[in-house]
Amino acid sequence: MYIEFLEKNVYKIDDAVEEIDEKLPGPFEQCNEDLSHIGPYITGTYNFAKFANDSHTIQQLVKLGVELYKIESDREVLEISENLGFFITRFPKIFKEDIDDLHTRIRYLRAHDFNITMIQTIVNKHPPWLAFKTQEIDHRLGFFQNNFKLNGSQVRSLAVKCPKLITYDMKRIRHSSFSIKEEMGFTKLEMHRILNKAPRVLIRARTEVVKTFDYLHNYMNLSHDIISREPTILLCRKRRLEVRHRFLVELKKDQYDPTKPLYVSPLCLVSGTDNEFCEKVAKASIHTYNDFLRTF
Amino acid sequence: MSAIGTVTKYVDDARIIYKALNGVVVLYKPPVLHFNNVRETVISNLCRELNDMRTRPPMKHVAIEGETNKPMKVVVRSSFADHPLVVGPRYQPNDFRMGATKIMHKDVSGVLVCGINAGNQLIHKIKTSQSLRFYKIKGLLGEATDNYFHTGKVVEKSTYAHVRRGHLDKLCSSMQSTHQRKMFELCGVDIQSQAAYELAVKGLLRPANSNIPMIYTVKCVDFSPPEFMLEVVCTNETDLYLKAIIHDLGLKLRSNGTCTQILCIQDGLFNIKHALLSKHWTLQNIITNIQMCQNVINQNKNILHQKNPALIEPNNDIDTIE
Repeated sequence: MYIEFLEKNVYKIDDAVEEIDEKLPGPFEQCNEDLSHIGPYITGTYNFAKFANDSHTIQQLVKLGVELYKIESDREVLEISENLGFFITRFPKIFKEDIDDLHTRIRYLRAHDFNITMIQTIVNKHPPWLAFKTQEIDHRLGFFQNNFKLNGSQVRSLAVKCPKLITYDMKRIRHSSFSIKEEMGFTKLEMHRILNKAPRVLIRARTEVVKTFDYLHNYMNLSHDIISREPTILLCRKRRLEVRHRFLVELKKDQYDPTKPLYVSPLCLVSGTDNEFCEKVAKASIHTYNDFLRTF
Repeated sequence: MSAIGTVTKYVDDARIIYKALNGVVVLYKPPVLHFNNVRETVISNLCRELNDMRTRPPMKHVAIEGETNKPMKVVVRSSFADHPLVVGPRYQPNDFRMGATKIMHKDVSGVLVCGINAGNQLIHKIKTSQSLRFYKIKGLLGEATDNYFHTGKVVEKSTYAHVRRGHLDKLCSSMQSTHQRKMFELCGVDIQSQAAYELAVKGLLRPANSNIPMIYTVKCVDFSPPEFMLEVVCTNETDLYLKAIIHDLGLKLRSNGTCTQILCIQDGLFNIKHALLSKHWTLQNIITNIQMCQNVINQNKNILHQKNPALIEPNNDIDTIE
């Protein structure tokens, strides 16, 4: 296959030379032409590194701090960044349209009473937001408003607090909201508290949230009300929760009722490093805790 | 670690540390995680910390530039083709190999002896020397599940009020003696021969075949119905084999038994108190642990090559490092 290709080429060159009928230079004649554009063939490669020293585009992208090794596996990206100049000359409107769309998308947010700092937070926190069409964003905000019975300002604060949630996979959000409502049995008010304080609960894998909730509710006997007041504990891994709770049980310090003395807040239980936990909550030595961890 | 004979030098170059990352490390494997998850976590931690240190600077690129019919310039600048943003971070998960003496199933927890990079050769030797493992196995009476572990579906329930500690002890000792009888059959010589007698005189033996589970001791260490705890010393075991022991004991006690925990407290020479907890799987701790394990192996060269089929008392003079 390769030989055939080479021969074809030779044939063509011979043909071309005959047609031009130009005298070929001899081997010892001085060459005064600029030959700097002639180089060896570019053979196959599996990453950008091969072009990096020659390609102005890649060098500029590196100077901007783009982590090219992460995006180079995408063939489309490779074509775009190699042919950026080509793209701009052929489709100068692509930027224009995009900017217009971006303006529309920002205007949409302004029209829905998001102030400028809010929009800044949203775009900085989650740049892919701007890739979504206005209708899509509208549909999603509407879904959150209707599904969780939120009012306008609650929807806005949710979007600012966790813009990723709004643009997240709708199927998974439907599943996890179903699970919070029906499987775990939180009421509407408790659901609002969860959305307000820890919207990431809806993003975290449903099965994991259910495991954590199961442990909190059925083993540690915490009521829905207490859990919804500190919903960030639903984001804790079950194992971390289990280990710390069992340590407190061993020390007889598992008192989660706020009306009684020696109350341990569930938030204190899960937050902080093991050192902080031992010092502040368990009041035991870290070595004791480490030895306890080794008995699981 | 004794202060005599060690020279401390502070290093911030990742290349030197990468070269030092060869050896055996003892980890504590938490339950629920599979060995593969443990390996992934450890290797990604190592990569992240090495990449945060001072790594190799990009190579120099020599370019001859300019038009060929005029005097040309030779320019030397750092190569973009070797920039971490182009070729990726200097240390990547592919740069590390990590194996273990025992691929632990996710239900098993405890000591996990791993080899990092060149340490895998040591791991292979330790594995073929068939060292003993010490397990603490918790069981629950009155329940049987489809996979013999408490995570499975309950398929049978029964009463356990009639079970006494004596029954359990009796069964354990009979199980132990049956296994020890089996041990002489597994050592690979004719049981009626002089060679068999000479081996038997030496005491406990390790099996010739590395596929057949062999139990040396079964002992009940805690009995508070419905829960009980066994201490098992064995080699060539699998997690299912240990679970099946609890299941069989339950049936023999005219009840049912389910395994609730399998904790490996010692693997060969490495005790659980040497093992690094998952929060300690950092570069600094792993390097210290590698040094400690190397000391242990140096003191007990026989674990790399067993000449004798009989079990030998280890040299237990091991310094621990917190």
